[in-house]
Amino acid sequence: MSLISLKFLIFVVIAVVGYYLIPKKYQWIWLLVFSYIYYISSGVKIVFFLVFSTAVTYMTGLLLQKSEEKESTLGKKKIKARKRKIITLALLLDFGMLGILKYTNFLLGSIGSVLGSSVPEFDFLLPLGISFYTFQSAGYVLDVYWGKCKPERNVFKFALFVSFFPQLMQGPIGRFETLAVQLYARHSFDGQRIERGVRRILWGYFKKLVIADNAAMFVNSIFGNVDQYSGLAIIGVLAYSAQLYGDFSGGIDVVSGIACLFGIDLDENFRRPYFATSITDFWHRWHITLGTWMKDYIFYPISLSKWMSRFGKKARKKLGKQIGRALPICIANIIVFLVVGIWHGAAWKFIVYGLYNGLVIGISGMLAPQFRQWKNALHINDKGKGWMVFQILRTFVLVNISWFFDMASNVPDALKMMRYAVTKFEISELFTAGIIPLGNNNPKYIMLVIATILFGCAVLFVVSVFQERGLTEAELYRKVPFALRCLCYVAILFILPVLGAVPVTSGGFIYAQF
Amino acid sequence: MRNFKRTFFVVIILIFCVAVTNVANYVIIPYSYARITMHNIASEEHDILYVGSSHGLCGIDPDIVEENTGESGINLCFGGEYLRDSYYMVKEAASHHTPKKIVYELDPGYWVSPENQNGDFGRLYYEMPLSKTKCQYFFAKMLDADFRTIIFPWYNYRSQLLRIKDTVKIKGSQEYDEYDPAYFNDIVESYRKSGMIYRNRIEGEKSFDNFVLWDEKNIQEISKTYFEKLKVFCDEKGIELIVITTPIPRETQEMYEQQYADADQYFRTYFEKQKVEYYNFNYMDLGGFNRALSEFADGEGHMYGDTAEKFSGILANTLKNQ
Repeated sequence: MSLISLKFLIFVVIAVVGYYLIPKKYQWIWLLVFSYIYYISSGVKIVFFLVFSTAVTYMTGLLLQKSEEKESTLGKKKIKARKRKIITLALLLDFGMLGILKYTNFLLGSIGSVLGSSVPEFDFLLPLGISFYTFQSAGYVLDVYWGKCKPERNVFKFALFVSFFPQLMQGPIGRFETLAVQLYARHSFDGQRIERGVRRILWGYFKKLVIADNAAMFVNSIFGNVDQYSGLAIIGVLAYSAQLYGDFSGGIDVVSGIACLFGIDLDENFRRPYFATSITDFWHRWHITLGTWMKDYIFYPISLSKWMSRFGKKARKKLGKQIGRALPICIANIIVFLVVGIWHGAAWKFIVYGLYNGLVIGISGMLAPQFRQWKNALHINDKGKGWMVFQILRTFVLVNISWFFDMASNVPDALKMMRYAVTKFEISELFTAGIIPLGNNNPKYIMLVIATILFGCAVLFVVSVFQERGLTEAELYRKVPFALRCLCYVAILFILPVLGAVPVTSGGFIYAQF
Repeated sequence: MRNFKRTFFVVIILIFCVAVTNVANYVIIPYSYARITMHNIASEEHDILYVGSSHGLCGIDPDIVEENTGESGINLCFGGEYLRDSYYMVKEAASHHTPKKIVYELDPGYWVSPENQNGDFGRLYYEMPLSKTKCQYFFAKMLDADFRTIIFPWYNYRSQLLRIKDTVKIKGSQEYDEYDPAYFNDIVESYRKSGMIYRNRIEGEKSFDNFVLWDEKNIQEISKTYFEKLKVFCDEKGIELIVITTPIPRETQEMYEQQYADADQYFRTYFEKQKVEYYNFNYMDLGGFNRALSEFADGEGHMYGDTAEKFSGILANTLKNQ
């Protein structure tokens, strides 16, 4: 069920109306039923994987708690070993399922290309949102294992935590301690909350339909025909910047708005990422829930592990204090981003994408003292606006380099496009026949599409500047009379069909394929 | 009081939105052949209904078939028509008059590609009179479409904003009231009352724009589902169902020989199981019919009008000698 289909909107309206009409104690059951209806609508077979993941993590939570209760009789050491076995098995089952379904063919293909022969591929079903709910479930069992939260005893309530329909397809990856409480709580109808939800949904559709889908037309043509549009490589990657942000953050706005209609606040996934002043900062603002998941469940366990501290000590002895201290963090970052890359998809380009980010962050961390020295030597005022703008632009360029790997068909194409981006620029190629699908080769129409993307980006930029300065939308809207607010919503509603593109892939969201 | 005011205001806003949308529908949605098609199936009685894709739309002239067989017909094919659309078109037509035959023009590419939003189904849905079939079509297809297609029917035509003056003018004219197809005639093509589009011979490069090759791996179950529904419907109503694949340029077939042969094999087996006659004109002796690329408007296989007339003669003989 596409997020922009009429069916989905009607589904949401029925779910919301019913949610506030039924007795409050049944609200979570209502949500569970609708979540499963939503998931089943994409195929009955794929429900097996969701149920499997739910069952494994639910049982693990209970087993971990049971083991803990036996601590006084069996002893701390024995219990620790038992818990470790349980968590290892649970993670193997959870990630094993994801790995087999998502990465088997990639591995077989890679082995085949190394051996120079073709290896038969499996026709695996890739369930919707599997990467998201697997990570969410794994986060839960690790939290229970580390004693950060108590396991949920009611299997149906737990099933809701894993399957809550707005966030099932493209996140955000929720945490049990913040999400579960809201899911099981009783919510009263709140007009202001509904308005906030509707507003967020409209804003999400604006980003997706007006910015992302219009930009996608150029992106698909340019990245799909690298040599034909070699003079547009730079425009292609800039359009992809707009498309990816509009698509992913727009989708998140839509799902967060829907969750808001049920009285539930999902974790924020974006915080004006293109205003980031470094790649590290970028990852604190882009796909935040994945970033924090990686930080909590991979980065810290690696960087605080015994073997890493031993390695750090050795490195400090052999390489000096400064490098010795930074090297373990650098390695942990590279591992984290390697996983981020693999999470994005089963292809070498994603592995390179992850490694690139890890290396930039790792090396920047190691060279941080040198950067400080150079800054001092050049008398750069790092509190000044000029320096900040430079940092933002520098980060934007670095991020765009990573987008080449993310969007190109493969690594050689990405490298070729990078080369074209700095050696060729031919704006006239923008008006080549066929760059926009559906036979719209009229230069006026192409200009109109470009103007629409620029208009969308300009609106997004202005809103982002206000938000960056600390002005929240709630504050902004509180000052506007109700009637004017309604007219604004109507205006946005009519902008969607006027300026929004026909979705190239029937309304698909990029991250919904994960 | 404050709540009442707010509710009242919201209602006013909703009425305003509906009014704006209706005005926009009138001034932006152009006069289309879908209006004539829908009028014709309601007001005329036909022996044969031709359904299928744009290949059928440009390749089958029901008037030529009638001249040869004595069986009248109407071409209900349209660009981007999937089996789900064909099924509801047939149902709508049969609700006015039960035909003797349904000829389904099969383009294998449509069986292996997911339904997209680029077809003309929005036009046909919009022009379809309010009926039980329209409601069923809504739940079966439109509900899955982009919400803008339904809430703002003018959305698919927003690129024609500059033609508002023409649209308003034609909608107030006698041509529009009388469902005159002459309005659609231009240098590229003309629209026949029987539903066929006659492509004129014009110079230019021949494109391969919407070409989808057959690959059994990609078969869409929904196509099978709706074909089987169509078969059941025809059996229940005593309508004969015939499937055809129109000729494509020989050059295209040679270029993708294996894929076309695989598709032919697949459909022969499938339709045999379904007990439905299948004629693939790319693997039949068509006498003197010229299948050179020069006889087609593009490499995909959209016939020029004169080629379509010759082919329709062959089709008529096939239907007669069945």
